[in-house]
Amino acid sequence: MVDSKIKVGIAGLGKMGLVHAGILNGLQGSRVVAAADPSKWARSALGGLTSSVEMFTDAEDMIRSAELDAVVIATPVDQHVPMCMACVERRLPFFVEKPLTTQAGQAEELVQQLRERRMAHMVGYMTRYVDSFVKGHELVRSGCLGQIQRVTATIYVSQLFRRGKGWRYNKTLSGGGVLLSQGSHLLDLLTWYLGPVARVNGRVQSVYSQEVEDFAHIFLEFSSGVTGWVDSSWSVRFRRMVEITIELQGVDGNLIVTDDTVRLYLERGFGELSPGWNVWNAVDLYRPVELDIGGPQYTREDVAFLDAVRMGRPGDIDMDQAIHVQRIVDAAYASSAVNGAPEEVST
Amino acid sequence: MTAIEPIDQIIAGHNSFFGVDHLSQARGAEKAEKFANVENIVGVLRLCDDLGVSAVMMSTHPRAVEVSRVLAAQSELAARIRIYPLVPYIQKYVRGSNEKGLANLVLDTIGQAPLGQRLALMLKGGKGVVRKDLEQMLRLLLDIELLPFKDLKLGAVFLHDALTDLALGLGLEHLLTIYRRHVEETYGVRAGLTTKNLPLLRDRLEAMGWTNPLVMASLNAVGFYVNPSLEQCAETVRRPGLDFVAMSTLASGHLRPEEAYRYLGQFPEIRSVVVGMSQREHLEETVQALRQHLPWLDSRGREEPCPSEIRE
Repeated sequence: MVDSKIKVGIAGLGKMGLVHAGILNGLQGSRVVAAADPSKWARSALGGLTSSVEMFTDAEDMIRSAELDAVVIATPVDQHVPMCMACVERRLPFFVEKPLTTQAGQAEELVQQLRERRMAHMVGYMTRYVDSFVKGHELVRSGCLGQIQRVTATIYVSQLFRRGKGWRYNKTLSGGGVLLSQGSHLLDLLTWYLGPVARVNGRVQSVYSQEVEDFAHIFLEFSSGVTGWVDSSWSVRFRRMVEITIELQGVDGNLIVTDDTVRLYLERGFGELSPGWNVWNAVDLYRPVELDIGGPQYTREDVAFLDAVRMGRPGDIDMDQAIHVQRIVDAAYASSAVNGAPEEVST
Repeated sequence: MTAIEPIDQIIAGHNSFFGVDHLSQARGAEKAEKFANVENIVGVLRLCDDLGVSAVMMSTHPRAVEVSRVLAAQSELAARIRIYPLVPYIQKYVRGSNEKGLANLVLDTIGQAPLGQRLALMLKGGKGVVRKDLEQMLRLLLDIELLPFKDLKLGAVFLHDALTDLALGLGLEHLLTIYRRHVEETYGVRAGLTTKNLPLLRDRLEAMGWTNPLVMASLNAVGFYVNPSLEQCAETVRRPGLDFVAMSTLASGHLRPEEAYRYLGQFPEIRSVVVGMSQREHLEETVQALRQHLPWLDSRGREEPCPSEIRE
């Protein structure tokens, strides 16, 4: 019998590489056949325990020589674009973790190549697959809020209270701090909800980190004219897990979306939605998945990527969307460097 | 295997002690405030004990050390209460790997133990690592996780679903056998697995020759955290040969105890139930509904000893 499973290679065996490897190896429609990591013991941990996965030291080597149908890129950020380019050269569908790159400029050629080739690829902004944010998107797009007037959004986690170790805190390898690493999830959600951003004012602050920011505050002006702000930090207290809150105000109501709850207030009824408060909690919104490793959103994200591979087209979150988020972050850093003066988001 | 003690039939959940709330992170933070004082946690354990529930799940949250110390000092209570550690505290690993990378985190952790220092140096040194070293590393990690409970009575140990399910996904189920052997041989209690993928886990364990595995998973009428479907999980629980512990039975407080346990009453196969409890009224209502709808669970009782083994 011909093996019809999509054969996947994993570049980078850190936390996210292992989660994707577990899901893509466990789902019915795919299996992991190769993996790459420069750390010898990480390789031997997986390679020594399972004989069915071919191990590589160098991920580009894996991309060029292993017999694969798709690649997951979960390396430090500075290696994302070179790996993506290696996949494009081989016409090999790829999934790349967020954020896309350290600076938008690094990815311009990649973006151009993908516009010309329309091959299967996807960028891992997984919060788009969290039930509550999916519901929030559905409500925003339904028009129930009427003309949207303003948006405020925060993303916080208690993660860093001393100088961090590892690539995330090295600006050359990571490209930036909390704004790029975690705030980018929020910017992705906001552009998904409200469309592109035209200009920003940004202020970033480092307290524990030497090279990257631990706090970031941005004022956003969307192309649609909606304005609002985003605040992000990984050095606030009392946030056991990453917590996102998005609040939108429109002429006809308010919408508050968090990681587990959606609260909608409407001045008057809209379709099946009643006037006053409409609330959905995590249980109301829960939908099961074929295999859950670390949260159903990761499975949905990987299933969406596999669909894109099968169809031979870009996935839900394509390069054009990811580069826009990157350009917003770049503009915010540029603005902060000139004390928060307004900065156009390049197109 | 029969030397190992059976598990308690009603086990108090620990989430609220540590600010974990799957329905609302905001509500979790409120509970964390209430239990910021360890005396309040011990107070709830005393309350549970008064109501006949003398078993408590305990995550290896950083605060578990402090809770264990305070509990151990109450010798009379500590002698009655059995602790069910859930290892590891996964947020510690998520945050730690964001802070310094997963590989560094694991090596630094095992490096803390006297026996682990040499192994950590060896792994860091990038010398050829053999399977035996990695298995030793897993055992060390387990011992380090269980250290906070060294002065307390253990009921059983449960492995966090993130790790059970990752092993399942990666096809590394044999690691679960290493885990199980180590817990049973070193601590003399049963080694349970927590999962969000019950039907798949059961199939894989049976394929490895496990009989009557001890497995904890969500089961509730609304299918919260139940994969791939409520029907498939219900069928898996009903099939004989599984020591099933039901969790998320109230769907994180979405269901009232009365309706939640009326539903679970149709599963006489349930061996044990984990129930969240932080207030007296809630606790009384829960225990009463459990006794009415799952009368075979006697809070003072333990399940029948059953042969549970790994057939090679």
